[in-house]
Amino acid sequence: MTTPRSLARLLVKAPLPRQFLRRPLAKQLVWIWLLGLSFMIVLTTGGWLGFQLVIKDRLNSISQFSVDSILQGVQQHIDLNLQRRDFELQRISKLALDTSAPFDAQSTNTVILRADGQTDPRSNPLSPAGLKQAAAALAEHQGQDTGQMHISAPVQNPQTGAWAPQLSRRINDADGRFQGIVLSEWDASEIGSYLLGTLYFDGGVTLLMDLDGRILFKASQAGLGTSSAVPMASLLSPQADKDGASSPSSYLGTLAGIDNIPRLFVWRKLPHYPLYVMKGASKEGIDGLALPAQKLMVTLVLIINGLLLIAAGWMHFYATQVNATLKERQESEQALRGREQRIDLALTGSDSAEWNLHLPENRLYLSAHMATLLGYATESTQHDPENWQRFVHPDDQPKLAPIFALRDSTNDEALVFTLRLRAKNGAYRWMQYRGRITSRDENGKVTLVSGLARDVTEQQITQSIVRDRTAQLDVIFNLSPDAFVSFDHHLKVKYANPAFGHMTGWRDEAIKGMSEAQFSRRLSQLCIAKHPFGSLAAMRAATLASGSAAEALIELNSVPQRILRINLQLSDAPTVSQILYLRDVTHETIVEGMKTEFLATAAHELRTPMASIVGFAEILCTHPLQQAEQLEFAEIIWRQSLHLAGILDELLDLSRIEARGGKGLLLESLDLSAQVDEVIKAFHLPEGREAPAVNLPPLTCKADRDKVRQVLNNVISNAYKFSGPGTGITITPAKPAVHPVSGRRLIGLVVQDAGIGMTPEQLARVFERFYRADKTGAIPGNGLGLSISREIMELMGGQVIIASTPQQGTTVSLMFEQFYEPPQLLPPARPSSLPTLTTMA
Amino acid sequence: MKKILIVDDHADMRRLLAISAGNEYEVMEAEDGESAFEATRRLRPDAVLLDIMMPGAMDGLQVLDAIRADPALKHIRVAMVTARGQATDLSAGKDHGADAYFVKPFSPLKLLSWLRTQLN
Repeated sequence: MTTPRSLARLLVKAPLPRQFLRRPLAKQLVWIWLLGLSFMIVLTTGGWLGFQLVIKDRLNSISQFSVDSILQGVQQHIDLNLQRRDFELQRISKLALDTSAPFDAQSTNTVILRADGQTDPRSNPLSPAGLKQAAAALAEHQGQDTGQMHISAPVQNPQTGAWAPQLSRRINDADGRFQGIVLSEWDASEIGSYLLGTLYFDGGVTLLMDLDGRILFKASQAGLGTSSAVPMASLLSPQADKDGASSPSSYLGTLAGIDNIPRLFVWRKLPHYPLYVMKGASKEGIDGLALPAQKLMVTLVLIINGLLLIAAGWMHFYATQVNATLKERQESEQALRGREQRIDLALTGSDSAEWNLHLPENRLYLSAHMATLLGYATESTQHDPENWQRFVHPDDQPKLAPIFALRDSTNDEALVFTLRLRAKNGAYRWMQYRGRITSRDENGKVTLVSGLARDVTEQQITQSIVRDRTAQLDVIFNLSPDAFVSFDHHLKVKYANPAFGHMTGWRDEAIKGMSEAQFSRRLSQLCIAKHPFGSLAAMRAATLASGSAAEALIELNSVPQRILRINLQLSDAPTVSQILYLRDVTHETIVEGMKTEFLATAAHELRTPMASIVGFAEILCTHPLQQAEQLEFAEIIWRQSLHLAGILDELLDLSRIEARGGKGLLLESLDLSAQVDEVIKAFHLPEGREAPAVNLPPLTCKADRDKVRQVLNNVISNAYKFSGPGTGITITPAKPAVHPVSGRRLIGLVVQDAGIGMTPEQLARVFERFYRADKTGAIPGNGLGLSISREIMELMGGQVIIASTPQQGTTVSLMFEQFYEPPQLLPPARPSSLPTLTTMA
Repeated sequence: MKKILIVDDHADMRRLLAISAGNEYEVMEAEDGESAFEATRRLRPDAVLLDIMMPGAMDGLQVLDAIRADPALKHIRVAMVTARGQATDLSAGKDHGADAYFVKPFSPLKLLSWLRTQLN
């Protein structure tokens, strides 16, 4: 469906001038309609006027023409009649000479007048006026002999009122003497009947008049009849010719003497006769004649007016259309300008700049804002890529290569490249260029790449900070020995660090997304009954109730034993709802347990001698006793007191070692064999026993002198304690070994006795604190020696290894770290081939 | 004369307890839990002085349980004489059915006074 606009486009454009179209629409329309209406008025008026003039003129000429044609007809008619009459007169004139010859005067209407003026008796009677006229004609003919027929002025018949001119001829005898005239009256009504036939205008009138205007004959629709005269004198135009052609003359109006009907009268003088022919067409007749022409004219005027109207309307329509189009165009231009402005502002506000890369010419167009962003003077620049490249950071130069290679690119994906550009102040700013291939030529090669560039320095900095932070956190999380599991707001597992997997044996992928309930179930499945795991929901409730993070101790069903302290922290953070922390406290718990156990055992060991001391002391004080008994009890007290003192010493020693760890040790290089000798020298050999047989090479080890002696003392003392008289102790070098944990080389000695040895059960417990293989008390000791010795050896990086066979003896191996000389730092050897370095400018 | 069974793995302690019991009662001794219970069943002492921490399959509390489980031995008065002095240990002794609980070091006079109260 064509819209009016396109319809206008289809039609020929109205030829309205541009200047005109620039005016306001109202004015244009006013002008168009003014012009149109003026044209129409002018046309109508002109048409009417023209019609009046032209048509009237036409009518005039039509009338003239009809008069002329009548004239000719009348002329011919009269000529013919006259000729006939003349002939008749001539005939009769010949007959007239012979008075006896009869002729029919009535039918010929002829009169003969003799020369003496007497009427021949054979002629018609004449009226007196006629006689008078005839006498004048007689005189006229007598005077001259023209040989022609004479026509007189019309004479009115008194009875009929008809006018009739007299036609006369001279009668000559054989000698040519005047004998009289022959005369005939010609009834003009004859002409009248002819004239009647010429009437073809409605209401038209035809007249025959003499030169004075006397109407000889009047023919009209109303009937024949003669009447008065027409005032010809006033009508006659000055230029009227008497002979031949006369200029047409006309008169529009009423003529007195005719009737009261206004008519267009047109007359002509008959060329040869003193007669006027006049035609009068009534207005109605003329109007009637004019009617078709009028209709034609009106139709024409209407058509042309219609056309003018259409034209005006067309121009109106066109003008409005053009106006609307112009307005639209203006508005869209404005909108476009507005939009351009807004885009500019948006670009400026967002610190973006447009860029276009024209690839065939390798021209890069950057908007002015780009320069501003970098702090340079504002100018829109067209850069050669090479020129632009100088602004790019050297490390980012490799990123440019793919940009220039875009010419042959076939995909249309969005392009993003982030580069550092040098700003005016020398610093580099990160710019992110985003764009697309926007135009290709007919071969598909890229011609134009366009887009926007933004300063993203802050974002880059932020991003790198975030990256660093994330990396840091990742390292912290991954290396953290403590485990933690975080839950999102739907209480689903969000993240578990690697330590969690190590601690529980779970892998991260299996955990993520687990619901809290699932997690609780699985974790409790892993725990043993002694330290079970309830549920996270319960822990959460406990946390909320108590106001502080709920803690629990759980033990996993694993070998080796694993005890974890867990606590649940709740969080308000948007992404984390709670975090479960797990810490491996196996060691601490075991140590705690050991401590508790130790304390209990120590308490027991201390209390037992105390009980003897207190008990016996009380008995001594309260019971009457025999002296032997008193002595016995006192001795028990003494003995137990010493025992107690020994325990206290060793306990203190132990706690000192534990407190200080390895710090109290002064490690130096020691010769073991020398130490052994010293110890043996100071050793108080039990009665009847031999000193140990020592067979040691020099052994340089890393150890604390005092502690080594303490250990040696303890081991040798044990050897004697648990072997009987007659058996010997030997001290020999041990096979070098490697420490199972540190991997260092160990050397040492072996103390062997041939005593009671230990059963496997005893051997298993030999290092336990306060463990005494002999419970009877027969063998003195408090069970701490070996545990202390082992503690010391381990602190020095060494080992104590005991082997034993019941009833055969025990071997105790003491392994020490071998002492190494620290390597001396030698100055680096300078190869002679190396050139000396010079600093580069 | 009433009989008293003394149970402790330390010789000195047994001596002390025997002295504490004085000459008024017949004193029997046992070194560990199993022989203690055996002696109790066989010899039917009137009171047992029971140490807790002893080597062997039965410790003092287990001996106490065994005695209390045996209806024939119901009448026997049992006192724990032990170095374990925590509140939990005391209540444990009470729960197992001990009649008295003496923490080492103890006063022999007080022990004797208890015996006299229980057996006389």
